[in-house]
Amino acid sequence: VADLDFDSLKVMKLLEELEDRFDISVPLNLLPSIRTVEDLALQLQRIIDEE
Amino acid sequence: VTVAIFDKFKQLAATRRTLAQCGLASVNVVMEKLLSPTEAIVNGRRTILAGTNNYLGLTFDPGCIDAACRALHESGTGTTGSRAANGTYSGHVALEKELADFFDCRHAIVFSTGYVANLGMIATLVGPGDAVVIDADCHASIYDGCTLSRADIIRFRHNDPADLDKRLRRLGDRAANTLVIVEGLYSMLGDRAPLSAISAVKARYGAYLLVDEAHSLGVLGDHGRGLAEETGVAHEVDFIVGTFSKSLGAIGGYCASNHPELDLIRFANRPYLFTASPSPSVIASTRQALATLRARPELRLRLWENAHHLYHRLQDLGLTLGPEISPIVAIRMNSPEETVRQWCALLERGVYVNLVLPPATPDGGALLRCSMSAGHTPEQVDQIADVFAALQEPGNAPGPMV
Repeated sequence: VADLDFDSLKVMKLLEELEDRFDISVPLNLLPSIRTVEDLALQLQRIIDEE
Repeated sequence: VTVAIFDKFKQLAATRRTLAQCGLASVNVVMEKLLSPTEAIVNGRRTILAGTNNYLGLTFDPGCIDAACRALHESGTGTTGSRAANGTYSGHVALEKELADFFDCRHAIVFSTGYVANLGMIATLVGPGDAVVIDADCHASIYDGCTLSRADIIRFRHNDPADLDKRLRRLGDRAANTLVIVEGLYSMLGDRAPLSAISAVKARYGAYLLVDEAHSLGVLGDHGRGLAEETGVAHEVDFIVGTFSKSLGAIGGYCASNHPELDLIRFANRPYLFTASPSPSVIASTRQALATLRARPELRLRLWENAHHLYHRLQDLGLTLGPEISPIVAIRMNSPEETVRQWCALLERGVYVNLVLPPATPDGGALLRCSMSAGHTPEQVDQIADVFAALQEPGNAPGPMV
């Protein structure tokens, strides 16, 4: 996420859009473990699979 | 040699250097001498205080001061212990009864600060495996309580009951183990939560609702109980949390609830168990302030007159204000630099307001935040607005940062 030069506000906006797109909620607790776009994709996939 | 654990403060140091360039050694104001609830000497200058959250202006109330003095003489300067050990005095118990009576609830707990009240209640009510769904603009103490709880923390869009509904729906069966948290008045822009819509959503999913009335106690509702009273949904609110440090003019926090488990929650509540309890004088002045809040509704009326007065005067100047009139009057600014310049210029002209810079602001913008008090005279409100007006005149505008 740092690679994209996003500040925390942009990160939250992106997250909200992804949450609506996939109809999921990403708990804030997961954010520290998400550093790259790949991390993000893997977490989203995991949450979608759990549902 | 820089030690590694201090490396993370480099960015902070750079921001502080930028702020210092506005000519002020520090943006940390020292109140050199308090003259009244609404005036102090700052930088050697007589200054109107328009950013203190002292909504009812009770910090110098003679009754509160007398009560505090008596308690000091009778019970000493501090309790030197936690509520669970030697720190529960008859005053703490009496205040809990008075708070329960005031909120028309069966139970109340007194905490050492409002921050600790949120930390303690949230971290004890939910735990690993539970979920907490909070308004995105909630106060730092709510975020910190959520982190301490180790529950899953889910944000919903600010004041958006439809988004809350989606979040609870996505939780499925877990919605019944979920605590929803909103605030009565949001501290930065002074906007209310749409509480009847929010409580209807939480009831539909069988979740629990905690409302932080830190800025709305003594401010909203026919009896000053807050937004839950004003919107008529107090019976749908599971937990009301608040502070003694705003309308009640002291320091401390509370939670009021009808759930019989509240008394048990004390003994699992680490921020309650492992902090010294409020000093007897603090409890005494808080009890008197609560009695005064109940006996003198005219304070609330005066507060709102001042809020309307300032809001309209600043609106007439063409300033961009928060979405609704409230005792918190926030002015949206174009940039952090402009905000710091204006804030310094206001202080130089004898008006103290709150300087709010990102990331403390709701949407990344910068704010000058005023809070009104029942203690302000109409003349003081005019003086505050006059200074804002003077700063808008060409030639009077604060110069660019060097």
